[in-house]
Amino acid sequence: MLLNELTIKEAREKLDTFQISALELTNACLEAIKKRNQELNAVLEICSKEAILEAKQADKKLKQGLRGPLLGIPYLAKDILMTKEVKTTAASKILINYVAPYDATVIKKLKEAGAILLGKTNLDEFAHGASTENSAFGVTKNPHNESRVAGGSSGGSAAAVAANFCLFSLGTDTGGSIRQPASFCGVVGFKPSYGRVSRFGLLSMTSSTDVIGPITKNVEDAALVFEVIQGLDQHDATSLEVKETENFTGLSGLKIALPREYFSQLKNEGVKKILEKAVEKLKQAGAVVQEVSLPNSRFGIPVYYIITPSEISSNLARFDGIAWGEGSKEAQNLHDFYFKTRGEGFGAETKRRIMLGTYALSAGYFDSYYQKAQAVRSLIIEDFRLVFQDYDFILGPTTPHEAFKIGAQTNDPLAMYLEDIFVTGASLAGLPAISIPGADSEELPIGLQLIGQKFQDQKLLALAEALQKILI
Amino acid sequence: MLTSEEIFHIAQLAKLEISEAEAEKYSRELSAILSYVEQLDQADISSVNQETRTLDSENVLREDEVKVWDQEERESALRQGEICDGLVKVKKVL
Repeated sequence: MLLNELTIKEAREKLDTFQISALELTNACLEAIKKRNQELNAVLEICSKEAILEAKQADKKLKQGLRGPLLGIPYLAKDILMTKEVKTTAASKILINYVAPYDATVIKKLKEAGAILLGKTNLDEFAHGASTENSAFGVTKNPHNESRVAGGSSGGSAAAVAANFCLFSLGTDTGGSIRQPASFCGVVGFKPSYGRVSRFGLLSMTSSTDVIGPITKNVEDAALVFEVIQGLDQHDATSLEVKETENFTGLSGLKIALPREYFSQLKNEGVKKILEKAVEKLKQAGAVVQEVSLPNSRFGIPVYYIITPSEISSNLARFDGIAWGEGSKEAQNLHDFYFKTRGEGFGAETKRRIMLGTYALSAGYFDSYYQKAQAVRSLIIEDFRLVFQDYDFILGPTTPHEAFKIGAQTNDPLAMYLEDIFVTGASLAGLPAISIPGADSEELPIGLQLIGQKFQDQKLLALAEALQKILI
Repeated sequence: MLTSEEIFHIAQLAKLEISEAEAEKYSRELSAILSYVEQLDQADISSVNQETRTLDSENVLREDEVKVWDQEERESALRQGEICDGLVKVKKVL
């Protein structure tokens, strides 16, 4: 087995007992990136020199007897998280040469924990998309089948873990962007509860749903990374410290809800089969699995595609080419400079979302679009609350089908939006959710999604780990 | 249905330079998305209190006090733009 194929837990044991060094582990990852990244395009920027230096420091600490869950563990971060030493482009032409003045809080925490940053991963421009086809630097290919997409927007992060470029990666999830690519690439993708992980240093997209989370090879590793990155941060007013009081006590007697709206929309036989198998296994283990209704879940996508563009049109107003980022070279006056900088710097989907949001927020339309969407969002949140009065968790598919072919949906933005049909709900309600690989994956992987109660992230991870064990 | 003229108006508000061809494309695409979104009219929002709606979160407040930012980080942030006499330089406004 190659070192880069190890899980965090496996590598931890070998590092702590000096069977391997952090430098060997880092070199194995860098080698894997060198070998296959040209075809996959999962990594946009590699920082070998810094990584090797950090690995040597980690080895020194290990020899001194220091220990920690991520000490000496190499990882990759989505290129929308600010990093001091490496460029942060958000896969946009407008930030093509941008170097952040400070590290995002998650990057800082990982650095303090001794994790080794290998580089930055590809994404849909500013995380706008579900296939990484919206990246200004080219699409990321699915490691399981290179004619297929890796999903998005954290497609580079998911593909990198699936291709063993790193031991884990960081992604961001605004309406499914960690879970959907994890499903397509056959890895674990965890979106924590809104507020549990600081977003300081994450380029804002939709401030009311943006969350940072880990993409890993198994659930146990996701829990290890989450433990390090979570917590209150004075720089993010929405972050908070949560002490979870409810523990996971095993599958027996657990009440799991199956939203019938998720099933009635499933046409793909493979996805159905994987879900049925999971239900059967859970029942065998003593869990109670019952059908429930989330009557307003059908409004998830329409709500999401009003609220998200609205927040984007506001958040992306800061990109004016002045003080940072790429500015137009041709403009003569300030007015012209703004228009040219933004017109040339943003890609098609980003412009589409900015305009949609500008329209939804403009005078005369605010009530009928934005206010209405926020009201329906309340109904969606209430649906979840009611289900969680009687159930511990919600189980469903992550994606309606396996990874689609590159180019298959690029001409129809609406079809692309519908890719997120099962994942937007948890985002709009701020709930923790995880995608784990379903068993029986024939050629292309498909994920199962578990949604937990707000702030019960560790409990959700414990259930996901138990489910992963019985699915094998 | 959003016309090309309306698209140009929205682009104007959003400070985006777009071409005729782009305006036509966005007119088609945004119209399709908006007509899909219209199904929100079917939702019964009479039970929703517009004052307290959305996330069931609590406000977290802190003292409004000035905290000094790291000198090196501040300088590195300023270096990204065009600086003239210690100020960020912008294009002529008039």
